[in-house]
Amino acid sequence: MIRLISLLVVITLLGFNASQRFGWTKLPADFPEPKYDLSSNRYKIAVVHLGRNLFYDPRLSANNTISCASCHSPYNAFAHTDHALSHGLNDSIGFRNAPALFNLAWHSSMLWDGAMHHLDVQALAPLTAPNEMGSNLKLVLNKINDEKYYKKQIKEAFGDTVLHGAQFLKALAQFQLSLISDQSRYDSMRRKQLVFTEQEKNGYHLFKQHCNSCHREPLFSTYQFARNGIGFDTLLNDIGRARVSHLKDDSGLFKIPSLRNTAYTFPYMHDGRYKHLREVVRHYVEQGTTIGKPISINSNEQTDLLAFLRTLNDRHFVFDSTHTFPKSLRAELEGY
Amino acid sequence: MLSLLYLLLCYAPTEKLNIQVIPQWQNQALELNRPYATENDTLTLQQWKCYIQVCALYSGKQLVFTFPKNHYLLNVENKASLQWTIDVPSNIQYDAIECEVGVDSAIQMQGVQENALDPENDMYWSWQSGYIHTKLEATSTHHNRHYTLHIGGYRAPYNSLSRFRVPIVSDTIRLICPVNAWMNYAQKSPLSNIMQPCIEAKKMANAWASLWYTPQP
Repeated sequence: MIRLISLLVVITLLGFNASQRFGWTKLPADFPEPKYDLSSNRYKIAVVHLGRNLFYDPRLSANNTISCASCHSPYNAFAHTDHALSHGLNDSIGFRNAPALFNLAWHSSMLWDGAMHHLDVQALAPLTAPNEMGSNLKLVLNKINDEKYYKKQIKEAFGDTVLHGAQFLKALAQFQLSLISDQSRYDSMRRKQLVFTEQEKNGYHLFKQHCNSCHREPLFSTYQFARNGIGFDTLLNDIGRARVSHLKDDSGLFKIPSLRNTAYTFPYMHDGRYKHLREVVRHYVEQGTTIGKPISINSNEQTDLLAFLRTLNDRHFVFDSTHTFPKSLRAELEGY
Repeated sequence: MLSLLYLLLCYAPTEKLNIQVIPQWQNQALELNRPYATENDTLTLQQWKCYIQVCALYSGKQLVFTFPKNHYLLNVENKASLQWTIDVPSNIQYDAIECEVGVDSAIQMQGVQENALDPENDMYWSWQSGYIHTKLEATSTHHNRHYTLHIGGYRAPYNSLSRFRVPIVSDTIRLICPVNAWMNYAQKSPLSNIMQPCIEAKKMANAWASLWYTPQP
């Protein structure tokens, strides 16, 4: 009898998708299983709320001027539009383009070179980098724990009066996990809520033929590492994945970005060298990647491909007020 | 396996095993911020921290008990971190203990950890994933050299997690770690600053683990 009940429980649990199991009501049912172990950071609205406030709080930086959102703006799908390289303390410039933040539960590693293997610990990198936020975890925790503004939020999120490092990182991770982009025109087409135009259909066909192996739908990336063939920038000297793995063969490998929301995330590539998406397409048409031949499509087909790529823009996500700067924090920071 | 161990601990009678870690410099308790003369130099240590995990008990070559995973952060500035007790079943015979220096890759691959493994303890690399297994920082007055040894790495080929097994010779297990012997090794290394997983870090980690011992009663 106990065995039967256990079996029924297991079957019932399997019947639920990840969103139901872990409280993430917004997880799209038509996305694959997340890479992030959601059971290790169970959804709690108070934790997301705390994480959102921390994300937008410039007090996380050494001189209280740079927040996570400084380089990851909600209106740019959490990228930094019009800036080729990330900005940091005192206008210091980083050496890579700030990547867009969405659908992070499906990433198998973080940063362009995958230096951080887990979303939970990713925030340590910009927090401590001298040319980004230039701070350290202890300093930030001291500041946050001293702020009256956060007392209630910490209590509601973790039932404690003091925020520890692991909780701080989990809150930031949980807010970022909540940044799910799945309301594009493409998604509606996939859910049979609309039909693509002929041009979009042709672009989609070309996409599947030439781009889908690296930018695999529905996430539009495998989130693996690849050489994009754009050539080494001798000023930046960025060797990509090899910086982490120390393997010569990994030189020039960078994480494949998603093609969702490209209208909001220009400029493109890891060093932000292309301002227009058409330039990116032209690069792959003329040069190809180092593993693939140039894509053989004519000018009209390039236009069709771009029309399809525009269907991946998720305006609903970009203007979702649940992700934007918390009004209460704005009041808190006035006069700071 | 862990569940079985838990059940074993819940239902089997247990006894307390006292563990004391003693960082030493030439047979004396290690102190930070005081000069120590070495063969051809004078060193002052500013920091010494290390992760240790008590793994198993042995009787001869036979494994008799495996502990649930629990990492301890040893910090010479925090005396309380250098001693603790653990439960062992009272019905087993053992004469040796095995420990790991560092944080194993299974834990490292998971998300952020709490308590001893909380990144707020300043033992997590911030520019890449991974815990620093042993952190030693020292200045050399004679050669104006700074030693920054942040030894870690959990992925092949630079996994620097290392193990040692020492005999149990008294009721309280006193684990001596001769930091001066490790520094002797470090002074012969071509690198005085190691802050990433690499072959030299792995060598340093193996050398470090081989130095631990239990004193004769």
